[in-house]
Amino acid sequence: MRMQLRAAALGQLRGADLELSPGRYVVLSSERGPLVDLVALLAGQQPPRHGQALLDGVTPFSQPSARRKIAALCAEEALPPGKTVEHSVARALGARGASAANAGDVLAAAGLARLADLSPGALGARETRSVALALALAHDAAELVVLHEPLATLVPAPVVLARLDQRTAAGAIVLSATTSTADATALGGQWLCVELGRLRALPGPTPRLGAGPWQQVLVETNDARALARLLHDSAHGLSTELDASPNSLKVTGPALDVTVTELIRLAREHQLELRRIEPAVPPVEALLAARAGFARGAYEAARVAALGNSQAALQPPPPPPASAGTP
Amino acid sequence: MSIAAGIELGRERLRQRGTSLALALALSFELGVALLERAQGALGAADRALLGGAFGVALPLVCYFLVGQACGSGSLRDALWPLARHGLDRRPLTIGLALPAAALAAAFGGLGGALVVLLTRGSSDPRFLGDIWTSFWIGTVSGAAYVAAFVGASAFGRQGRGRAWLLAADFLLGAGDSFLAFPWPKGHVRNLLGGTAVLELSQMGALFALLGTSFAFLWLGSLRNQR
Repeated sequence: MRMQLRAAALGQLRGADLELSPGRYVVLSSERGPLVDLVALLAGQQPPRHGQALLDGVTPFSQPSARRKIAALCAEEALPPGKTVEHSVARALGARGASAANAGDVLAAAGLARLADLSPGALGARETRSVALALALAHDAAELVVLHEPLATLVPAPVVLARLDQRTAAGAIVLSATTSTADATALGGQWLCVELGRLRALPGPTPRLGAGPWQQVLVETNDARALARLLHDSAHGLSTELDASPNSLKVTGPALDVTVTELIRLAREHQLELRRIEPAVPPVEALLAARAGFARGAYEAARVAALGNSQAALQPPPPPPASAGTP
Repeated sequence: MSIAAGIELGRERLRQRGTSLALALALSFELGVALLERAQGALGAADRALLGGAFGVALPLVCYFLVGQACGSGSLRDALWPLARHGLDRRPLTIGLALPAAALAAAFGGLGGALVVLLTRGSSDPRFLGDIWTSFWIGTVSGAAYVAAFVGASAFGRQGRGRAWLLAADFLLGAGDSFLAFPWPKGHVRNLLGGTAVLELSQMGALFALLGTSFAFLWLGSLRNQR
C-alpha cells in the first residue's frame, strides 16, 4: 500500500509532493484551506487540478475500487439520504458491501446511538461529521484512513484514537489533518508540513508528534522519588525515569501540556517544590518557530549570495585620498 | 447495484413535500394558461397553451427543479459523493439518480400535455383523442429528455450551476430556429408540437435531435465525473 502525490494541486493546496507508506501521519497547518483540499484529494472526492494523486498506482477519484479502500472524513460531510440516521448509515454500509444490519452498532460504538432515530436533515454540521467519522472508523478493510479534524466531532477522542491505533497496527496509512497543535499532539504520527499551501515531506528524520519519548519533560524538584511515585498513580498514564541526581526526574506523558498541568497539581497538593520544568524536545510551536527561522536564514543567505556581486558593483567608490592642501 | 443505489438516492431526495407542491403549482399554472387561451379563442388555443405555458415554461422549470432536488441543490459530483465514496461507480449512479426524476418529469409532461388538450379542445373535436395521445407522448419524451440534459449539465460549474446555464440557454437560444438552437431541447419540443422547426428538421429528426442532444449532455456530465 502506497499513496503518492506528485505535484498535486487542488484549490488552496498549491502543490503536494509526497509518498506515504503504511504508518501514522499528522498534517498540521495554520491554514485550513489546504487541509480541506488535501483530504478531498486523498479521499477521491475531487480530482487534482494538476499533478497526480495515486493510491497503489491508481487515481482514487476515477477508480471505484480504490475508493472502496479509503475511509475518509471530509471538512463538510453529507450523509446518504434516509428516513433516519440509522437508515442512512445502513445505506452507506450497503454501498461499501458491509452488512447494513450493523448500522446501529456502528453508531453505538462511536457513542452516537442517540442520533440513530433522528432525520439526517435535522443534524447539524458537527453531528453529520460525527456520523461520517463513525462510518470511517468502522471501515475495517480501509487501507487509507484520511481524516480532517477528527477530534472536533462528537465522537469521544479516546474512541477515535483507539480506532486509529488499531488501523495503524493493521498496516493502514492513517493520515489526520488539523489546525490544532493540541489535536496534532494527541493524534500523533509523523509530522507533515504545509507551508503557504505546499505540502511536502521534510528531508531527513522528521519530528514525531503524540505520546512517546518525544513528549518528555525534565523536572528538577526537592524530592524526585516522591514525585515519581505520585506521577505513577496519576490517571494520565505518565511514566517516569529517575536521574542519577536525587532531584532530577524525566517524565513521559501523552502531551506536554497534560504532563505539566499534572506535575504542578501534584506538587501543589503534596507541597513539593518544583525548581525547573523544561521539555526534553521542543514543542510544536518551537519547531514551527525554528522552521520559520531556518527559512528566514536560508532566504537571507540566498539573498546575500545573489546580491553579493551586484552589491559589490553598486558600492560607492572609496573616498579619494585626502589631498595635501586640505585643511 | 450502483444503478439501484442511484435510484434509491434520487427517490429519497425527491420524496419531499416541496416536490409535490412544485408539481401541483406547475400543473395549476399549465391548466390556468390553457383556460385563458381557451377564453381568448378556441382556434389554436391548444397549440398556444402547449407551446407557451405547458412545454415552453412549466416543463423546463419543473425538470430544472426536480434535478436540483435530486442533486441536493449541488453539483452532480457532490450529489453522488455520499455513495460514490464507498466504492460505487459514478456512471451507473448517475443513471440511477436521473431515473426517478426522469420518470416524474415524464409523468408530469404527459399528464400536463393531455390535460391542456382536454381543456382547450372540446370533446366534439374529431382530432380530440389523437391530439391527447400526441401531447401525452411528446410531454413524456420531453420531460425525460430535459431531465437527462439537466443532470448532465449539473456536472459543470460550481455547485452544479451548469443546470442554470442550460436553462438560460434553452430559454434564450432555444427560442430561435437557427444552428444556435440545435443543442437545446426547446426548439425540438416546439418542432414536435408542430411549431417552427430548428434547421428545418422533420418531426422524426426533431425527436432524434431531442433525445440525442439530451443524452449527449448526460454523457458529457458522466464523462466529466469519471467513474
